[in-house]
Amino acid sequence: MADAAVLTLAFLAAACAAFRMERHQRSVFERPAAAGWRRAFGAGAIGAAGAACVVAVATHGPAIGVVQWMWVLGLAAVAVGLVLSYRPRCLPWLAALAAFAAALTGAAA
Amino acid sequence: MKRSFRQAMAWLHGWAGLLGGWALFMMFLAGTASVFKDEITAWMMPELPRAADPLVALEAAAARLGDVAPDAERWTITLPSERFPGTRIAWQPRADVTDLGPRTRREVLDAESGRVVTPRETRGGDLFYRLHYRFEISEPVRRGWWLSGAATMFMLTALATGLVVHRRFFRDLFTFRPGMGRQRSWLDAHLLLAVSLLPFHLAIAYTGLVPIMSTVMPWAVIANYGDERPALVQAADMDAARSAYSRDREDSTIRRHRAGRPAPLFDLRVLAERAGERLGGPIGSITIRNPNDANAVVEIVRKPGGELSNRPRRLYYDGVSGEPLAVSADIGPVAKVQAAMYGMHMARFAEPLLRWAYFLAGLASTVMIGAGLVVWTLKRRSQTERGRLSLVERLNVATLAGLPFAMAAYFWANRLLPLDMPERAAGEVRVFFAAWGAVLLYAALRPSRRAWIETLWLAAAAFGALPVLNALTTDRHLAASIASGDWLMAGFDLTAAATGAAFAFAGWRVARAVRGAPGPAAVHAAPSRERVEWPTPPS
Repeated sequence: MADAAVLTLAFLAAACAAFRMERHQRSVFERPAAAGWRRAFGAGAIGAAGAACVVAVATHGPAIGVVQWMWVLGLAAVAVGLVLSYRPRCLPWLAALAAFAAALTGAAA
Repeated sequence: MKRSFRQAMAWLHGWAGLLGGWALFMMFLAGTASVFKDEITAWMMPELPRAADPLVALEAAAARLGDVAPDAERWTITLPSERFPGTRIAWQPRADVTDLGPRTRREVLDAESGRVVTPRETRGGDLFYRLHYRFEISEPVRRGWWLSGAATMFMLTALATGLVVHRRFFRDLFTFRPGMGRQRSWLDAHLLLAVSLLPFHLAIAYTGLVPIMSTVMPWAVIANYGDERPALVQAADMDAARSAYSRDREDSTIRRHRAGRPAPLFDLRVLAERAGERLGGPIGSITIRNPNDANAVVEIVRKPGGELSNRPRRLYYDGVSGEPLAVSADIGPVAKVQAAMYGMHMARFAEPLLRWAYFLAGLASTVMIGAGLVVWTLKRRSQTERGRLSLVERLNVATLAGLPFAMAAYFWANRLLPLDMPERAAGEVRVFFAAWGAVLLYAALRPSRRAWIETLWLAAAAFGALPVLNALTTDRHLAASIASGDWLMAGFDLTAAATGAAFAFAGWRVARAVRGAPGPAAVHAAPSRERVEWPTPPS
């Protein structure tokens, strides 16, 4: 369960980081987002990435936890990049789904 | 002409990437496959039975060793796991009781019954592992280490210069535009994979030097364990120094001389249960020195996991009384760092999720290198006439598409070569290299675009049909594996099918791109947002 939480939180973090960037806002929302939203996405990205790190370290210890966190975060960024290029409109829904799944699995863990 | 720093770095990035690229592609692809080395070997030995309770397997293995080698120098029992279902035993006969000399003998046992299994003769995943770190060079082994060390330096150079060339990489993060012209798309793919997994690329390339460091950076070992000869001479031939160094590092191992008085071995199952509690995890392997002797020592090693180190925690017991023996000295802090870096590279500790993360990240590195090689040719195809690129293009086809095809051919050989063929394992390896060579020859003769498309389709067919081949030649087909929950076999079949689908997709995209854009015009048509001045190849 903890591993699923790390996966979903990492995806959420990468999606938020993408939403924070103007180029991707245009392809996902068709227009640039307001400054408030930008800050919120930035905070969301850092928060989700931090939470993923905490869960990974708490589950696997500092050494393996950090390794798992870094690799999974990188793969999540690749996945977000692929969604943005082939199905950009799906990304908000996938991010929401990831947030929901992260809350569920995080609570279970 | 005076060039800016970035232009100089771009020149270095291009040439380091090109000259190291083919070797690095092979190292990363073979290394990625090695993440599942044991699983690949298990798939290539379909005669192996299903895994059983490790403690039952231990008793069965000890009984077998007691029958076949009661007075051996040493027994080693590697217990079955979810990665390899059989029990692997090895024993080293005592030099004075056998005229064959102290050669290690190995057997694979059915975990439950202890019956000897004779799986088909194969090197399994070990071929990819040897290819990964020493280019399958066995004699002299040091030459392979030097080659992989040199390729790693190319990788680190390409990574460092790549950071300078694409210094604004955060702006382009998550950006991949598959429809924007071939050069732009391939560059996007190269950057997306490079930037997203930069920590992985750096860490894997750097820690990859650790296992071979006494070869590629021999000075510390020579200073401490060397002889009177000049250091450079020793660096070329330092077997003596290196074995002294290795012996020193093994100091924490408890060794006792044979007493020569027979004594019954303590119940291994009881020892394993006791050790399991103290080690805080399942047991991976057990070594018994001087079995059935008054000075027997049992070494119980934890299954890799729970820590990065490549030297898992272990405990020692007196083999007769079953009393724990104190380990003399802990390894020093530098050795601990070395073990952690070594372990991080090898990923033996990785649980399924992390193992897949290593596999996918390794695949991403491989594709990044391949995309970089393609960008190199596309960039120049728009600048120069095509003839001058043909060598690079052909080597690209033979490496990027030909090597995966050769891997699939190796798996085909495993299922199709006659089981009683002499030197069967070597025959499989010959098929691998023959398939690779055939693609190289084919790529040299065909126009490069046709060669690209056809080799990609060939790889797609070879991988995609592997589950079918497995179903036709063994009784462990995909449906049966899934129904019985055998995820080892099913995982391989599904991964092969997915790999085939990926190659089919690549072949289809390349075919479509070639139909839609017959010449370099499409490359020019793509708006170039990259403001880097790429170097022109020297004439």
